[in-house]
Amino acid sequence: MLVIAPRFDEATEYSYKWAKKLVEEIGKPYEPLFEDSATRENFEEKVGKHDIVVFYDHGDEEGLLAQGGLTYVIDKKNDHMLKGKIVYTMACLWGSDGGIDAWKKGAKVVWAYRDVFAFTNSEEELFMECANYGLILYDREGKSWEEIYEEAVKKFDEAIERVEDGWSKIWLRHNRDALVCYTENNPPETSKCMFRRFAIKLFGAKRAWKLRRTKVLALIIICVGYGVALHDYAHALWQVGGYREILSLQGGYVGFALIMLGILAYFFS
Amino acid sequence: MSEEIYRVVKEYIKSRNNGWRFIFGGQIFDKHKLLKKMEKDPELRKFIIEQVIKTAVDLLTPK
Repeated sequence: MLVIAPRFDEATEYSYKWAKKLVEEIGKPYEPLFEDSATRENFEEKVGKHDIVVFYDHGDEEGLLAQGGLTYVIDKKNDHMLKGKIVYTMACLWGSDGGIDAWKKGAKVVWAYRDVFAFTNSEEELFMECANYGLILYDREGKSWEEIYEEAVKKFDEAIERVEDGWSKIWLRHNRDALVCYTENNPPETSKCMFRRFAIKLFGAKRAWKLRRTKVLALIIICVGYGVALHDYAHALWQVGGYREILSLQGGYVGFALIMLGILAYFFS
Repeated sequence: MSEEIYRVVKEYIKSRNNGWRFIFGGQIFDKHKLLKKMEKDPELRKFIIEQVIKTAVDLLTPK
Protein backbone atom coordinates (compact mmCIF):
# COMPACT_ATOMS: atom_id res chain seq x y z
CA MET A 1 0.00 0.00 0.00
CA LEU A 2 1.36 3.38 -1.02
CA VAL A 3 0.18 6.16 1.28
CA ILE A 4 0.54 9.75 0.13
CA ALA A 5 -0.10 12.55 2.60
CA PRO A 6 1.41 16.00 2.06
CA ARG A 7 1.48 18.39 5.00
CA PHE A 8 2.02 22.09 4.40
CA ASP A 9 -0.92 24.12 5.72
CA GLU A 10 -3.52 24.04 8.45
CA ALA A 11 -5.97 21.90 6.48
CA THR A 12 -3.31 19.32 5.68
CA GLU A 13 -2.46 19.08 9.37
CA TYR A 14 -5.84 17.39 9.70
CA SER A 15 -5.63 15.20 6.59
CA TYR A 16 -2.10 14.12 7.55
CA LYS A 17 -3.31 13.14 11.01
CA TRP A 18 -6.25 11.23 9.53
CA ALA A 19 -4.00 9.34 7.10
CA LYS A 20 -1.71 8.35 9.98
CA LYS A 21 -4.69 7.17 11.99
CA LEU A 22 -5.90 5.13 9.00
CA VAL A 23 -2.64 3.23 8.53
CA GLU A 24 -2.36 2.76 12.28
CA GLU A 25 -5.82 1.17 12.37
CA ILE A 26 -5.09 -1.06 9.40
CA GLY A 27 -1.82 -2.07 11.01
CA LYS A 28 -0.19 -3.49 7.91
CA PRO A 29 3.09 -2.53 6.24
CA TYR A 30 2.88 0.42 3.89
CA GLU A 31 5.18 2.73 2.00
CA PRO A 32 4.76 6.35 3.10
CA LEU A 33 5.08 9.36 0.87
CA PHE A 34 4.57 11.85 3.65
CA GLU A 35 5.27 15.59 3.76
CA ASP A 36 8.30 16.50 1.58
CA SER A 37 8.38 13.08 -0.05
CA ALA A 38 4.80 13.50 -1.32
CA THR A 39 5.90 14.44 -4.83
CA ARG A 40 4.96 13.43 -8.34
CA GLU A 41 8.41 11.96 -8.99
CA ASN A 42 8.26 9.73 -5.93
CA PHE A 43 4.73 8.63 -6.74
CA GLU A 44 5.72 7.67 -10.29
CA GLU A 45 8.76 5.80 -9.03
CA LYS A 46 6.94 3.83 -6.34
CA VAL A 47 3.41 3.25 -7.63
CA GLY A 48 4.28 0.19 -9.72
CA LYS A 49 5.03 -1.84 -6.60
CA HIS A 50 1.65 -1.32 -4.96
CA ASP A 51 -1.94 -2.49 -5.45
CA ILE A 52 -3.49 0.14 -3.23
CA VAL A 53 -2.82 3.87 -3.44
CA VAL A 54 -4.07 6.07 -0.60
CA PHE A 55 -4.11 9.85 -0.88
CA TYR A 56 -5.15 12.27 1.89
CA ASP A 57 -4.88 15.98 1.19
CA HIS A 58 -6.01 18.74 -1.15
CA GLY A 59 -7.47 17.90 -4.50
CA ASP A 60 -9.35 19.59 -7.29
CA GLU A 61 -11.16 18.52 -10.46
CA GLU A 62 -7.87 17.97 -12.27
CA GLY A 63 -5.79 16.11 -9.75
CA LEU A 64 -4.38 15.46 -6.30
CA LEU A 65 -1.94 18.03 -5.00
CA ALA A 66 1.67 17.43 -4.05
CA GLN A 67 3.59 18.83 -1.08
CA GLY A 68 3.42 22.62 -1.24
CA GLY A 69 0.21 22.59 -3.24
CA LEU A 70 1.70 23.99 -6.45
CA THR A 71 1.90 20.78 -8.48
CA TYR A 72 0.00 17.53 -8.72
CA VAL A 73 1.06 14.13 -7.45
CA ILE A 74 -1.56 12.61 -9.72
CA ASP A 75 -3.32 14.29 -12.62
CA LYS A 76 -4.63 13.32 -16.04
CA LYS A 77 -1.12 13.06 -17.45
CA ASN A 78 0.00 10.27 -15.14
CA ASP A 79 -3.23 8.71 -13.89
CA HIS A 80 -2.77 5.82 -16.35
CA MET A 81 -0.24 4.58 -13.80
CA LEU A 82 -3.19 3.74 -11.53
CA LYS A 83 -4.36 1.02 -13.91
CA GLY A 84 -5.47 -2.07 -12.00
CA LYS A 85 -5.10 -0.34 -8.63
CA ILE A 86 -7.42 0.54 -5.79
CA VAL A 87 -7.27 4.30 -5.28
CA TYR A 88 -8.61 5.49 -1.93
CA THR A 89 -8.71 9.23 -1.41
CA MET A 90 -9.91 11.87 1.01
CA ALA A 91 -9.57 15.00 -1.07
CA CYS A 92 -11.88 17.61 -2.52
CA LEU A 93 -13.45 17.37 -5.97
CA TRP A 94 -11.21 14.77 -7.62
CA GLY A 95 -14.17 12.40 -8.01
CA SER A 96 -15.91 14.90 -10.28
CA ASP A 97 -13.43 14.64 -13.14
CA GLY A 98 -9.86 13.45 -12.44
CA GLY A 99 -11.13 10.36 -10.63
CA ILE A 100 -13.38 9.54 -13.58
CA ASP A 101 -10.38 9.86 -15.89
CA ALA A 102 -8.32 7.51 -13.69
CA TRP A 103 -11.20 5.03 -13.68
CA LYS A 104 -11.53 5.30 -17.48
CA LYS A 105 -7.84 4.53 -17.81
CA GLY A 106 -8.23 1.34 -15.84
CA ALA A 107 -8.07 2.08 -12.11
CA LYS A 108 -9.88 -0.84 -10.49
CA VAL A 109 -11.52 1.24 -7.77
CA VAL A 110 -11.70 5.00 -7.36
CA TRP A 111 -12.90 6.14 -3.92
CA ALA A 112 -13.22 9.90 -4.02
CA TYR A 113 -15.34 12.99 -3.39
CA ARG A 114 -16.96 14.92 -6.22
CA ASP A 115 -17.40 18.05 -4.13
CA VAL A 116 -15.50 19.93 -1.43
CA PHE A 117 -14.86 17.90 1.72
CA ALA A 118 -15.91 19.89 4.78
CA PHE A 119 -15.88 19.33 8.52
CA THR A 120 -15.74 20.97 11.92
CA ASN A 121 -12.96 20.56 14.44
CA SER A 122 -15.53 20.05 17.21
CA GLU A 123 -16.62 16.75 15.61
CA GLU A 124 -13.34 15.92 13.90
CA GLU A 125 -13.23 12.36 15.19
CA LEU A 126 -16.60 11.53 13.66
CA PHE A 127 -15.70 13.00 10.26
CA MET A 128 -12.42 11.10 10.29
CA GLU A 129 -14.15 7.82 11.16
CA CYS A 130 -16.45 8.23 8.17
CA ALA A 131 -13.60 9.18 5.82
CA ASN A 132 -11.44 6.22 6.89
CA TYR A 133 -14.21 3.67 7.15
CA GLY A 134 -14.14 2.28 3.60
CA LEU A 135 -10.54 1.14 3.54
CA ILE A 136 -10.73 -0.26 7.07
CA LEU A 137 -13.77 -2.28 6.04
CA TYR A 138 -11.99 -3.53 2.92
CA ASP A 139 -9.02 -4.61 5.00
CA ARG A 140 -11.02 -6.30 7.75
CA GLU A 141 -13.95 -7.87 5.95
CA GLY A 142 -12.80 -8.20 2.35
CA LYS A 143 -16.21 -7.20 1.00
CA SER A 144 -16.79 -6.01 -2.54
CA TRP A 145 -16.33 -2.28 -3.09
CA GLU A 146 -19.98 -1.89 -4.00
CA GLU A 147 -20.91 -3.34 -0.59
CA ILE A 148 -18.28 -1.21 1.12
CA TYR A 149 -19.69 1.92 -0.49
CA GLU A 150 -23.17 1.06 0.80
CA GLU A 151 -21.76 0.42 4.27
CA ALA A 152 -19.88 3.71 4.19
CA VAL A 153 -23.06 5.58 3.29
CA LYS A 154 -24.75 3.87 6.25
CA LYS A 155 -21.84 4.90 8.44
CA PHE A 156 -22.41 8.52 7.39
CA ASP A 157 -26.14 8.10 8.09
CA GLU A 158 -25.40 6.79 11.59
CA ALA A 159 -23.02 9.68 12.22
CA ILE A 160 -25.64 12.18 11.04
CA GLU A 161 -28.13 10.66 13.43
CA ARG A 162 -25.67 10.42 16.32
CA VAL A 163 -24.20 13.92 16.17
CA GLU A 164 -26.17 16.55 18.06
CA ASP A 165 -24.65 19.59 16.41
CA GLY A 166 -26.78 20.69 13.45
CA TRP A 167 -23.86 22.24 11.54
CA SER A 168 -21.96 18.94 11.66
CA LYS A 169 -25.06 17.10 10.45
CA ILE A 170 -25.10 19.40 7.40
CA TRP A 171 -21.50 18.66 6.44
CA LEU A 172 -21.64 14.97 7.17
CA ARG A 173 -24.63 14.81 4.82
CA HIS A 174 -22.76 16.91 2.28
CA ASN A 175 -19.69 14.64 2.40
CA ARG A 176 -21.86 11.53 2.19
CA ASP A 177 -23.52 12.80 -0.97
CA ALA A 178 -20.17 13.81 -2.45
CA LEU A 179 -18.64 10.38 -1.91
CA VAL A 180 -18.25 8.22 -5.01
CA CYS A 181 -16.86 4.76 -5.56
CA TYR A 182 -16.24 3.96 -9.21
CA THR A 183 -15.78 0.31 -10.03
CA GLU A 184 -16.50 -1.88 -13.03
CA ASN A 185 -19.98 -2.55 -11.64
CA ASN A 186 -20.56 0.98 -10.46
CA PRO A 187 -19.41 3.35 -13.22
CA PRO A 188 -19.70 7.15 -13.05
CA GLU A 189 -23.18 8.48 -13.75
CA THR A 190 -21.84 11.49 -15.59
CA SER A 191 -19.13 12.56 -18.00
CA LYS A 192 -17.64 15.74 -19.40
CA CYS A 193 -18.30 14.38 -22.88
CA MET A 194 -21.73 15.38 -24.19
CA PHE A 195 -22.09 12.20 -26.27
CA ARG A 196 -21.21 10.02 -23.29
CA ARG A 197 -23.78 11.83 -21.14
CA PHE A 198 -26.35 11.22 -23.85
CA ALA A 199 -25.37 7.54 -24.02
CA ILE A 200 -25.64 7.26 -20.20
CA LYS A 201 -29.18 8.63 -20.38
CA LEU A 202 -30.04 6.33 -23.24
CA PHE A 203 -28.44 3.03 -22.22
CA GLY A 204 -27.55 3.47 -18.53
CA ALA A 205 -24.06 4.08 -17.14
CA LYS A 206 -22.82 0.51 -17.27
CA ARG A 207 -23.52 0.07 -20.99
CA ALA A 208 -22.67 3.62 -21.94
CA TRP A 209 -19.13 3.42 -20.52
CA LYS A 210 -18.49 0.28 -22.56
CA LEU A 211 -19.10 2.18 -25.77
CA ARG A 212 -15.87 3.03 -27.53
CA ARG A 213 -15.43 5.75 -30.12
CA THR A 214 -14.59 3.20 -32.83
CA LYS A 215 -17.67 1.15 -31.94
CA VAL A 216 -19.95 4.18 -32.18
CA LEU A 217 -18.34 5.19 -35.48
CA ALA A 218 -18.83 1.64 -36.76
CA LEU A 219 -22.50 1.78 -35.77
CA ILE A 220 -22.98 5.10 -37.59
CA ILE A 221 -21.29 3.72 -40.74
CA ILE A 222 -23.46 0.60 -40.59
CA CYS A 223 -26.64 2.67 -40.17
CA VAL A 224 -25.78 4.95 -43.11
CA GLY A 225 -24.87 1.96 -45.30
CA TYR A 226 -28.05 0.19 -44.21
CA GLY A 227 -30.14 3.22 -45.10
CA VAL A 228 -28.55 3.57 -48.54
CA ALA A 229 -29.03 -0.14 -49.28
CA LEU A 230 -32.66 -0.09 -48.08
CA HIS A 231 -33.43 2.98 -50.16
CA ASP A 232 -31.82 1.45 -53.22
CA TYR A 233 -33.77 -1.78 -52.73
CA ALA A 234 -37.04 0.12 -52.33
CA HIS A 235 -36.26 2.13 -55.48
CA ALA A 236 -35.67 -1.09 -57.45
CA LEU A 237 -39.02 -2.43 -56.22
CA TRP A 238 -40.75 0.82 -57.22
CA GLN A 239 -39.33 0.46 -60.74
CA VAL A 240 -40.75 -3.04 -60.94
CA GLY A 241 -44.26 -2.37 -59.61
CA GLY A 242 -44.60 1.06 -58.01
CA TYR A 243 -45.62 1.65 -54.39
CA ARG A 244 -47.70 -1.52 -54.29
CA GLU A 245 -44.53 -3.53 -54.88
CA ILE A 246 -42.70 -1.63 -52.14
CA LEU A 247 -45.53 -2.24 -49.65
CA SER A 248 -45.90 -5.93 -50.36
CA LEU A 249 -43.98 -8.48 -48.32
CA GLN A 250 -40.57 -9.09 -49.88
CA GLY A 251 -37.93 -11.64 -48.99
CA GLY A 252 -35.41 -8.79 -48.99
CA TYR A 253 -37.16 -7.16 -46.04
CA VAL A 254 -36.69 -10.31 -44.01
CA GLY A 255 -33.01 -10.13 -44.92
CA PHE A 256 -32.77 -6.48 -43.79
CA ALA A 257 -34.60 -7.29 -40.54
CA LEU A 258 -32.20 -10.18 -39.82
CA ILE A 259 -29.19 -7.96 -40.50
CA MET A 260 -30.58 -5.33 -38.10
CA LEU A 261 -31.23 -7.93 -35.40
CA GLY A 262 -27.71 -9.29 -35.82
CA ILE A 263 -26.19 -5.81 -35.50
CA LEU A 264 -28.24 -4.97 -32.40
CA ALA A 265 -27.39 -8.31 -30.80
CA TYR A 266 -23.70 -7.72 -31.50
CA PHE A 267 -23.61 -4.18 -30.08
CA PHE A 268 -25.75 -4.74 -27.05
CA SER A 269 -24.73 -8.23 -26.00
CA MET B 1 -37.32 31.94 3.58
CA SER B 2 -33.64 32.04 2.55
CA GLU B 3 -33.16 35.16 4.65
CA GLU B 4 -34.60 33.40 7.65
CA ILE B 5 -32.24 30.45 7.14
CA TYR B 6 -29.31 32.81 6.74
CA ARG B 7 -30.26 34.62 9.94
CA VAL B 8 -30.36 31.34 11.87
CA VAL B 9 -27.04 30.21 10.37
CA LYS B 10 -25.44 33.48 11.46
CA GLU B 11 -26.87 33.10 14.96
CA TYR B 12 -25.52 29.58 15.11
CA ILE B 13 -22.03 30.60 14.02
CA LYS B 14 -21.99 33.54 16.46
CA SER B 15 -22.77 31.14 19.28
CA ARG B 16 -19.64 29.00 18.63
CA ASN B 17 -16.66 29.34 20.95
CA ASN B 18 -13.38 30.91 19.87
CA GLY B 19 -11.70 27.56 19.28
CA TRP B 20 -14.35 26.45 16.82
CA ARG B 21 -13.11 25.87 13.26
CA PHE B 22 -14.91 25.07 10.05
CA ILE B 23 -12.68 23.40 7.47
CA PHE B 24 -14.09 23.82 3.98
CA GLY B 25 -11.68 22.19 1.56
CA GLY B 26 -8.47 24.16 1.78
CA GLN B 27 -10.04 27.05 3.69
CA ILE B 28 -10.20 27.19 7.45
CA PHE B 29 -12.64 29.55 9.15
CA ASP B 30 -13.09 30.56 12.74
CA LYS B 31 -16.49 32.03 13.56
CA HIS B 32 -15.47 35.62 12.79
CA LYS B 33 -13.86 34.77 9.46
CA LEU B 34 -16.82 32.67 8.38
CA LEU B 35 -19.35 35.39 9.22
CA LYS B 36 -17.26 37.92 7.32
CA LYS B 37 -16.84 35.62 4.33
CA MET B 38 -20.55 34.88 4.17
CA GLU B 39 -21.40 38.58 4.23
CA LYS B 40 -19.00 39.25 1.36
CA ASP B 41 -19.55 36.16 -0.72
CA PRO B 42 -23.13 35.63 -1.99
CA GLU B 43 -22.11 32.39 -3.69
CA LEU B 44 -20.98 30.87 -0.40
CA ARG B 45 -24.09 32.17 1.32
CA LYS B 46 -26.28 30.56 -1.32
CA PHE B 47 -24.30 27.32 -1.14
CA ILE B 48 -24.68 27.11 2.65
CA ILE B 49 -28.41 27.82 2.50
CA GLU B 50 -28.74 25.06 -0.10
CA GLN B 51 -26.90 22.66 2.19
CA VAL B 52 -29.23 23.53 5.08
CA ILE B 53 -32.27 22.81 2.91
CA LYS B 54 -30.80 19.59 1.52
CA THR B 55 -30.07 18.37 5.04
CA ALA B 56 -33.57 19.24 6.25
CA VAL B 57 -35.02 17.29 3.31
CA ASP B 58 -32.67 14.39 4.03
CA LEU B 59 -33.57 14.27 7.73
CA LEU B 60 -37.28 14.28 6.94
CA THR B 61 -36.98 11.56 4.30
CA PRO B 62 -37.89 8.16 5.76
CA LYS B 63 -34.94 5.77 5.45
